[in-house]
Amino acid sequence: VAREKFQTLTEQMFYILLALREECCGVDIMEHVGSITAGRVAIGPGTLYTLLEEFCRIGWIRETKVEGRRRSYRITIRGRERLEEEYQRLLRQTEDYRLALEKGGDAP
Amino acid sequence: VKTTYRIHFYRPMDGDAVERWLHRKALRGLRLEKAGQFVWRFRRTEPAPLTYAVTYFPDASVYGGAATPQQEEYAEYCAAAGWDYVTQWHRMQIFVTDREDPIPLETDPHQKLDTIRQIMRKDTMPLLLLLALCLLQIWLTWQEYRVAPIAFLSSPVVLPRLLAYPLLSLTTIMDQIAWRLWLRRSERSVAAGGDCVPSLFPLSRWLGIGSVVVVALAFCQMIGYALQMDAAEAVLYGLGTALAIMLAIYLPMWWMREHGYGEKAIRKTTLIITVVVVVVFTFGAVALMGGGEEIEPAYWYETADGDRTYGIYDDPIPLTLADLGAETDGLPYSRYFRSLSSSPLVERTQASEHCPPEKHLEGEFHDLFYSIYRIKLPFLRDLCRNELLRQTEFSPAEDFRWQAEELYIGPGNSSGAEYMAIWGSTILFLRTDIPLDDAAIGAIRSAVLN
Repeated sequence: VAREKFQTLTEQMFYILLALREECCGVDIMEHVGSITAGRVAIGPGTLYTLLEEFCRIGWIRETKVEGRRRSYRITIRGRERLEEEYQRLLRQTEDYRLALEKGGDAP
Repeated sequence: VKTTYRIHFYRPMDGDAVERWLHRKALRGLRLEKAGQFVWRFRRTEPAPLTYAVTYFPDASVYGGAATPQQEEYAEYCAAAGWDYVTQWHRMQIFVTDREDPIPLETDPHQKLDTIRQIMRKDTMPLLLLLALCLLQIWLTWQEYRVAPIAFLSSPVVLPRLLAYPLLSLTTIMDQIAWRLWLRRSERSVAAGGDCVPSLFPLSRWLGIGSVVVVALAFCQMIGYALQMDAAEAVLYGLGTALAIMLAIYLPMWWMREHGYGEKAIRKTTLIITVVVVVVFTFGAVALMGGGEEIEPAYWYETADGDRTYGIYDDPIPLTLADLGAETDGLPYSRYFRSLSSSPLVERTQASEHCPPEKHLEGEFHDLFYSIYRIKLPFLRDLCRNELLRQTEFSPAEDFRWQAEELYIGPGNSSGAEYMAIWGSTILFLRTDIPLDDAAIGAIRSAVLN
């Protein structure tokens, strides 16, 4: 189910994984994503919490530190691979877009 | 700081309706402080356009209790996004913010839908169990009705039994339908890039409230009957009983929550208290209904050989053997009368007059036995008549002296002939060995119809 569910990463999943290339706690991730995307992508705290739980469960990230209530995470090798796959998919997608425009000759 | 309380009729899945309700309250200067089971506490403040968000936490317990570390961590995430934790109710967690354009708690509708689906899955099993129990009760009620329809219809608990379980089943089914419809629509909406649709709140909410009111009134009627009260007293007493039951269950739960007990302790205590309250209430109800007290005989009659003793009653009965023209003086006739059962549908009374068997041997004696059925809803008359006809082999008869709409004569037995007469909504079943002349029939009519 998890594999089917995360076949394509949503924008928020993508940025959470990207932010976790460095060790971060949940609250930091929200800020980090905000700064990476210049405020374009905002992750709701409920969504972030649920996704972190899910990512831990399927082994894309791991808990690295617990300080009081604050837990820190970091992306795992599996998570990196999945992020890379998604990046390649997005590249293919943009490439397809570019080729389609070249053939059609019209720009959006 | 002034606090005020509001009763609410929301269900755990009415998150968006709760958000709007709390927003309206905030605009009127009421800020939610604490969510109880039925009553929520508000603080009076300056009116403010606060935004509330309801989120569901799968690990939260319906019993409340101190927040788990996970819930605290969740609340910390929310605080970082500008949302302050207010309270929790059921598995619902309520947050508030005064920011004008806050980041929503849930920014991924897929994830939100998944969480709600997960919670509903947890809550569906107990509901289905409840539905199964209700259906079992309906089936048992139906069986009871089939075996003895008149006894069932005249039972004082008939209204609660006829209404409570079907309405509870209907509400549960409606809730399930509303939930499935909501799920389907939300799945479509989310798949199309939208958000979850608003809850299908009003219909099943009003059905739920209506059911509670109807069932409560039916219970008040039952209590009123048991304690011989008028309608207003019965409603007061019924509401008092309901309030006492709720307080007995929820007060300890509330106290434990206030004192920071964990979910496990609250759950265990609540379950134990609920079982005790249900048992006490059931035994209390049975004692109240009790089928009427046994009436003590007026005196005891001992046979000449001293072997046997008979209880002799001297109740005032509406129709006596003397009214039928029989000579009963000098013999220890027992006159017994009691209301067998009564409900808003049917009332049954029974009376008899007979002497101890020993006296039968001493010469002239007579017997009289009769039941009077007063049908309070016209459409039940044929049903009761057919049931009585089924019990005894009556044959239709015509005798204008009875002035009855229908008259039947039964085969009779050693105690005499049997008659069944129907006048409007009154049915009389009578057995006596006295031949009924014009005067006797006139006496019967006036005794039964007055």
